[in-house]
Amino acid sequence: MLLRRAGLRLLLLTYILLASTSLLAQSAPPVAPADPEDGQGIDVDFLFNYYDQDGNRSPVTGGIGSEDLQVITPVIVLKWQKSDRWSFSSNLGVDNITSASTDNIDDDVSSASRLDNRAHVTFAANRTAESQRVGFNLGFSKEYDYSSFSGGLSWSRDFNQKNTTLSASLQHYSDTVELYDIDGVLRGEDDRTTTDFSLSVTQVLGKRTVGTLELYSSQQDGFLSTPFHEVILADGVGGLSGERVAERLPDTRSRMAVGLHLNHAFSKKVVQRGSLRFYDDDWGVTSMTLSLETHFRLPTRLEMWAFPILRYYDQDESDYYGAPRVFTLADPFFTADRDLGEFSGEKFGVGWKVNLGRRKGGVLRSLRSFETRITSYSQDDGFDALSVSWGVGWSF
Amino acid sequence: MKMLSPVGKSLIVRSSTLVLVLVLVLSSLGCASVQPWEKDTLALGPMAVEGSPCQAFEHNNEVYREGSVGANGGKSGGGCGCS
Repeated sequence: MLLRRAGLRLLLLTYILLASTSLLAQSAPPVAPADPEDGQGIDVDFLFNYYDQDGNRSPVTGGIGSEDLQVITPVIVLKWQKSDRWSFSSNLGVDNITSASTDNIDDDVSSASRLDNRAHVTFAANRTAESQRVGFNLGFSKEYDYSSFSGGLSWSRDFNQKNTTLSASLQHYSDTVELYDIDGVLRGEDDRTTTDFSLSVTQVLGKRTVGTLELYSSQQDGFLSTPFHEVILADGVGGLSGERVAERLPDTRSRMAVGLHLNHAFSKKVVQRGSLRFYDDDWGVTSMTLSLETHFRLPTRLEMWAFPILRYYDQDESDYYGAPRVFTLADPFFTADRDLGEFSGEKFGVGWKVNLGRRKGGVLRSLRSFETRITSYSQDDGFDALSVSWGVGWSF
Repeated sequence: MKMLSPVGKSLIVRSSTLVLVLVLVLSSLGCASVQPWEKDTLALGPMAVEGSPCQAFEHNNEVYREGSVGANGGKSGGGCGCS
């Protein structure tokens, strides 16, 4: 509690400090006009994320064990603007996971001395014609017990002198799950498919405001349980009190979400980004998310922005979620996965971004952007997480 | 321990919705008249509709640790072992 109060005070102080420096920055030069060669050539981005979490409700041990986990993820993104019409991009990353809880499943996954890896790669092509853009993408990811192929289509069109943009995307995932049970024994494999559809309209609402309304729908079918997640049974039919069994979840899930994103520039030195999202699915999970970032232009020769990050998340529990010793084998579905429980979470953080524009030259002169974000996330069930990200981009 | 009471949560949801809707309505009064040469403020980096690449990491972590996905301009629901 003391730490949280100190964090809030620090955040408030950061806000005041940044606002003061921004208001004093009368001599800051205006944002550089667009480079005439903007959008041409090859972009290379190196991204890196360190993620650290802890909690005491791991579903791997029936909702009562350690959730201690660290992930280090380097990613490289390449984008080639071949012509005015065609662009290609590729994204390659590896999640290096060290986990205390999954170490309790079997010997193939991580421990303090061993790593679990997830590799993921995507390839995308986009074509622009007049006011329309169409694109497709292919992707693949592989973890020790999981492989996934994905493909997607996207379309967008500008209207009203580019003040209105309508976008739609369809993405399909075909996944295979290797069924390691709660004792770490491989019991074969099963399939899972996910189809996501997204429709959005982006509207310029004034000289300083732009908003996006996004509708999202997802349908999942197949094996949706995690086979090594345990549930500790209560006294009842067909099971002993305290007996540990694998979670049982339905083999379909329909998910819907609505998001409203709004960006407003109070001046050329202060920009407010905000979004509000509502979510609902047929497992009984509903949630609300509010995100705010206030970007302050720093009084420097380069285009440099600093911003505090705030996010509030509130979720109601699934119909199938329960604490240990709540369910019996007579129940058709049950899980102790806290992701499906009731909780609220708060995220605080700071970010810093430098935009240098597209310039031709050597490695240093070709530097296009630099960004870092540090966020602390905590839930009211004792779960805490820290995320540190860096991104560096070059244009050649 | 709860961070906020149900009344507090409800207040946050309602007030934030009201603020966003108000800004949307007030801003929309001049939404059709922005010409290309008047868009220099809209071209500022933080005004970009899409989030930054670094933010995608956080979206990804949230998809793993929370029960909801989608409509966040980021990660969707497939391709990972999370539920």
